[in-house]
Amino acid sequence: MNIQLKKGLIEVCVLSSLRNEASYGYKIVSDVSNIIEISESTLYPILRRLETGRFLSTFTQDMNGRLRKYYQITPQGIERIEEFKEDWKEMEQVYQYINQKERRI
Amino acid sequence: MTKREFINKLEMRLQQTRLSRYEIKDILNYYDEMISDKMDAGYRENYIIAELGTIDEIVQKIQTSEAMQEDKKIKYESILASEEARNTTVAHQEKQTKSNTWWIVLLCLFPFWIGFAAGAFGILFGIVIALVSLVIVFFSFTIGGIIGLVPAFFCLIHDTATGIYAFGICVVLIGLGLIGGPLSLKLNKVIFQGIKKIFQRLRKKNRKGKGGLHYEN
Repeated sequence: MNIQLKKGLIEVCVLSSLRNEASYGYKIVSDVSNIIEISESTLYPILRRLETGRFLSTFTQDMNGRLRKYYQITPQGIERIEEFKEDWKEMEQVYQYINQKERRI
Repeated sequence: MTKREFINKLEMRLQQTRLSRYEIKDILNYYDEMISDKMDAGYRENYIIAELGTIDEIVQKIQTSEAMQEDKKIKYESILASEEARNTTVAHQEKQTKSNTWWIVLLCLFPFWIGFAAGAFGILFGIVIALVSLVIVFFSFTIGGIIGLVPAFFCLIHDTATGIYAFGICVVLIGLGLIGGPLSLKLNKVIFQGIKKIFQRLRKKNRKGKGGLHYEN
């Protein structure tokens, strides 16, 4: 898959994994890797980018004597998912168009 | 490699980059937490660290992402700057035309408004002078009273009645100065701020009247 497209998909997958509840690094990797291939070192820059873009907010919580950073989706993050869904509809139309043209040939 | 060794190596490598101390700390915390969580999930330390890839690969991924963000930021800022420059030019041109029209109208109506303007300026100037004088008067009261205490003291030695009288006058003057001084200063402040606010409102109204910014098509 194209790297940029994959990065975009991972971003939306990460946001979606946080849609119902806040989560932490390891759990996000575990959840998202069921859908799309992702490593821990790939996730960090994505989380940073989403955080700087204010699609995510963070907070820390004590967990068995150590601090764990939690990521929480923001209204902008939810909006980003909705935008992606709209874009996807357009992409589907383009895909169908491409397929139709292929059949005629 | 143990978790501690990995974190130390990563820290040393990150310190060679242009990343800030805050960013380095954030990255180290992320990997520390990730390794600990995986160890809690039952994975072996060695296996987890081997799975993370080499330190150079990790740093490269971070740097590429940071560079992309920086690039996007620069592009976005340059777009904003050019749009702002364009808007400023258009707005400036519109402003110039409108202000020229206003100047012509004002010049034509010169005989009507000059009397009112001079009167208003006179009143304002009078108020300012009166306020400043009030402060000077109270200040002089205090200074005069303090200086007067010296001869009053000598008077008290030679002629007790006159001395007490002079002493009383000095104390009254100092009292008036100490009460009136701060009060007049406060009054000055309030009135000057009021005048400032009136001018600011007039300026704001003037700006609003000139309309918003428009894009050039």
